[in-house]
Amino acid sequence: MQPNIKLSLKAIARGAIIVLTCFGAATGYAAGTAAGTDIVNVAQVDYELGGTPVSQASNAVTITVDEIVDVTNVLQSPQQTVAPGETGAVLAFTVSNTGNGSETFILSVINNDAADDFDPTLQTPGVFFDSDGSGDLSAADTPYASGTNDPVLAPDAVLLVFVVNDIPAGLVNGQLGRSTLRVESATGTGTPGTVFPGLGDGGADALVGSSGGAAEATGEYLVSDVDVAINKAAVVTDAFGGSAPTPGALVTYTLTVTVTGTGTAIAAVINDPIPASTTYVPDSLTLNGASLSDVDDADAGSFISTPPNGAVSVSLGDLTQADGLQTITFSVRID
Amino acid sequence: MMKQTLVLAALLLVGQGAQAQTGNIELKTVVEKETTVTNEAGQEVTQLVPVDKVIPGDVVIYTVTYTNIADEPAEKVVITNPIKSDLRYVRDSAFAPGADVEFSVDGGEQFAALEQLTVERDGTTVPASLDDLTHIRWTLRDQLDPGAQGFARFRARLN
Repeated sequence: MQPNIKLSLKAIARGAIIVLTCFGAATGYAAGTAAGTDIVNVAQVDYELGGTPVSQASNAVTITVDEIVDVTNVLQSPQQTVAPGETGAVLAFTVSNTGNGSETFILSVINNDAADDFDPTLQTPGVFFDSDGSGDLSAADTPYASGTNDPVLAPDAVLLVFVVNDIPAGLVNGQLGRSTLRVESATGTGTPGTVFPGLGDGGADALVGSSGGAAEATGEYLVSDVDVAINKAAVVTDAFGGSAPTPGALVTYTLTVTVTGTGTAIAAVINDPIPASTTYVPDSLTLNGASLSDVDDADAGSFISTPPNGAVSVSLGDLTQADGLQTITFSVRID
Repeated sequence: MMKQTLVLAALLLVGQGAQAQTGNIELKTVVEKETTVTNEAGQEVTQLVPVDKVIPGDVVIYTVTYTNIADEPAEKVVITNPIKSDLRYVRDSAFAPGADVEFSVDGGEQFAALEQLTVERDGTTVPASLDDLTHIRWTLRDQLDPGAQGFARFRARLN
């Protein structure tokens, strides 16, 4: 059995988590009946008077749904491993309008946390919307300018926001810097229950909800000189003992993960999508020679049947150079 | 005796403020909210106060008041009230002295007790949930004599 094709995919990742798949979609929230909705009630009475049927309606009573101003902001990025002087270190946040009306939000970044070891420097511009829906910061993403393009979110709408910071030079391993994205409702913020008369959708009152109309989430940068390298190789075995990539042939992939440097790749996870036109061979996943079950359980690996074709996922935990080479194998069959 | 009843009914109507529709039966609906206040003795008292603004999660109380203002009895009196789709009926909250309560899940075509109602969901017939209810109906057990009055009430939560 000779290797016929050798796919070589070498990824040098500086992040704590190596995700070959794309960013997960955020979930929605139930905001309730839309602000400004009028609910009109008319009762009816039917009866007989002297044997004649009569039907009458009551007066109408109307209740109007006020706007609840609520927002959530959730950090989507794990702790980012950075090098001193690194530029363009990205944190992702999801901002959700959990109120029941359309709402404008004002974003700001706070980098002067007093309890951390260094202050990241926000780039200019340093806040971007995921305009192209890619899940990652890309050239098509729109920079945010406060007061100019403050995002307007419908109830339940979710916005992915990127915060891009530079890391100061002269830092040493183990130093931590925090960066906070603050989101405020343009209608107003305050103690839950605060009323802004007439400022809600459809002229209804706006009430500050449990969030206080604002939400902050904080990401972290850890200075750590660590590189994670992944090498991927494939060996094909066809039905005739050869190595032709024909339908029915078995392809065994070997991923080797190497950590170099003095730092730690925290909670490293390898996700590798199953290629198109192939089918994952059940129970073929191994880590350092030991079998891993396909179900998501106590062992480190699992097969995730996400579209289009599923993926294997192996959690390597916190990795340092001392852990040495990590070898993951799995097989697919060509359809 | 009858005069007293009429005076009482008049007071009730004045207290609730809204304009009733007139005919042989005067039918009036109000929507209120329960509010807990602390009285002068320091006790917590629950009051019904008229409401015109609500937020999701609020519970409102609809009260329909009926008075026979004709000079002959009204028979087979049935009060029907919609349960709008943004509202969810609060279980066991229907109240109407001297009347039987039934519900509809088909826009008021057919009525039955809540536990007897079914709906089609994904091709299967399942017991109706509170979200399925479209109307509530009260059927008076006895005729409504001239001057007699009563009320029907239910609670609903705004989705």
